[in-house]
Amino acid sequence: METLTVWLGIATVVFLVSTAAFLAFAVEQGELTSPVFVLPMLITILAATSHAVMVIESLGFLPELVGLTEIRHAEWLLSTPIIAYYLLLLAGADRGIRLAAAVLDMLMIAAGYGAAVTGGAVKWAFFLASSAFFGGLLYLLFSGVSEAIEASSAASRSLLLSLRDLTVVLWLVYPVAFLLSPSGAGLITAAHTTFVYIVLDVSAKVGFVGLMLARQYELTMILDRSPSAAA
Amino acid sequence: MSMATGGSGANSYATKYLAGIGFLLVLVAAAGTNAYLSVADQLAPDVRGQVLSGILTMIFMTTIGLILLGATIGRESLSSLDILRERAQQMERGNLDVELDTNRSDEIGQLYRSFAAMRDALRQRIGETERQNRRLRDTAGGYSDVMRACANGDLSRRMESDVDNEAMQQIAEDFNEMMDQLETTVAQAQQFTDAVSGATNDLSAQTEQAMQASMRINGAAQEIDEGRGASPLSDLDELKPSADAATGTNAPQPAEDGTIETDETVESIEELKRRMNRIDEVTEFISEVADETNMLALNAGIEASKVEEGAEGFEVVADEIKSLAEETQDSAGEIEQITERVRSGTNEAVESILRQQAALLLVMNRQAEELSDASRDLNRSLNRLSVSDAALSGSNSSDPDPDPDTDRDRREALAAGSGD
Repeated sequence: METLTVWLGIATVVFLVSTAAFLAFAVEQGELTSPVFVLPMLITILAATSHAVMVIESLGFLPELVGLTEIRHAEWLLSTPIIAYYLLLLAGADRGIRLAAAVLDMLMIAAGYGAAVTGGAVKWAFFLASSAFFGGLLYLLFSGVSEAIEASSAASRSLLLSLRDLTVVLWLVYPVAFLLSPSGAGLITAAHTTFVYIVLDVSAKVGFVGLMLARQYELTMILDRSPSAAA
Repeated sequence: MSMATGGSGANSYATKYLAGIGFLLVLVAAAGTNAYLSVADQLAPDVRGQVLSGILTMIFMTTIGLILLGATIGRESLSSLDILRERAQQMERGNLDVELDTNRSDEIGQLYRSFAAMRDALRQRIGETERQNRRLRDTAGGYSDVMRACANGDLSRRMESDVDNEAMQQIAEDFNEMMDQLETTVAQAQQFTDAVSGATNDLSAQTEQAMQASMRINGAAQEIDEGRGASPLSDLDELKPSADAATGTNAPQPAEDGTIETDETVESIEELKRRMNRIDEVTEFISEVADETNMLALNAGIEASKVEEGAEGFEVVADEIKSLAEETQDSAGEIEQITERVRSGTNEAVESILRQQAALLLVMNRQAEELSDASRDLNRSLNRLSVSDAALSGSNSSDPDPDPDTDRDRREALAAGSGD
């Protein structure tokens, strides 16, 4: 068994644990149907699922066509728009902006997959397109959260800023990893690239959910004040 | 990246934090580069690739770790500082209803709680001060009312001296003392004017009586002249003793009931004069004291100019004594002026009274003389009448033994009367 399998296995477990923790929190709050409590769990469950599948893949039980890249991007296509949408939801942004962010995110991931599986100039075209979508997404995330900060109280401000910073900065590392990976400069091996992605995924998603759980007091203040959070 | 709404540019907390992170990454990168270069030559290409990949991965890990740290704890600290700064600014502007709720138990939570305690203490302190100010304003208003009442004439009003503020208490006590003295002085002045007024009234009444008495005498004399009161002999007899009394006197003495009362009036005026003299003596004494004090001050000044050390303090005292002496002299001078005015006024009053008395006496004297003349005439007439009467009764009566003495007496009396 490769060490990579071990890392993937650990990641899967971590995702499951964080899902359970957030479930407990949601039960305690008595809100299991509100998107505010459902979406974070959805994110971590998707991540747990994809990593479990990646474990299976690394053990060689999946068909040739389905590689780690495919599994990864499939999960990202679903989970990252939810993250962007949820962040803007907490910030109290309009529905339109939230959906726009989700769409941009999906386009970014799709273009990223294109960059990952193609070569030459096409790859770089996909990469630039993905970067452009990423830029647009970043703009929406920043302006959306900033507006919320202006209007909200101090406590909720702190949590929102932490969540935004965590997400945005960590996501900036992905393209760097891609550029150094075998798809790019080739300075990092495929296995190490996967390892970096695993760490990034866990940090971003578990970090996001963990932060909300660690600052429940502030989270409840945010949820109490923003009527659109229940939408 | 992380929005620093607080500190300015290069000095902000976020900038310092990021600078620290950057520096750490540079160190790690340097260490990694060093590690790689130290073994790179000795390794096979694929192994070299693995080592490089491994080192780069480690740098990635470091980066990710730093991002996690900054996004959580770093961002948290910055936000808390921002929040507390904003709350403090609101309190500075006067809004003491700021919200400082937190459920954190760490140092930042403690800081929030300390701010909240400070806000509560400020609120309480300001409330107390405002209440006290209101009380003082009310007291001052009360003082104002008292002063107005006193100015309008109600000298019995006093200020409330049982107050918290030392300065106001002093004002109230001083004012009350001043009003006590003023009330006493006004009462004394009132008494004095009452006495003078009474004395003047007495004098008026007595003069009036004296006038009436002289008018009565005048009337009686007129009656005698016109011979109205001459019909009944009994009346004449009654009149005779008083006429004798009037004739018997040599010095001009007016009727008895007028003199005694006028004497009393003069007596009280004399009393006034004595009092004036006493005030005079007092003011003279004060002047002497002032002179002596002035001399003392001069001496002190001279002595002070001789002594080097402490001369300034000495001079100040000497100056004060000097000014005090001057003030005393000024006051003494004022008192003298006042007593002088009163005395001259009194003298005038006394003179006018004495003049009135003299005039009265002259009138009475004249009337008494006229009365004396009239009564002598009356006496003569009476004697003539009695002689005639005797002559009449003697010629008609069968008196066997006529008394030669009585005859002789009558004849002498007649002679004396006619020979007057």
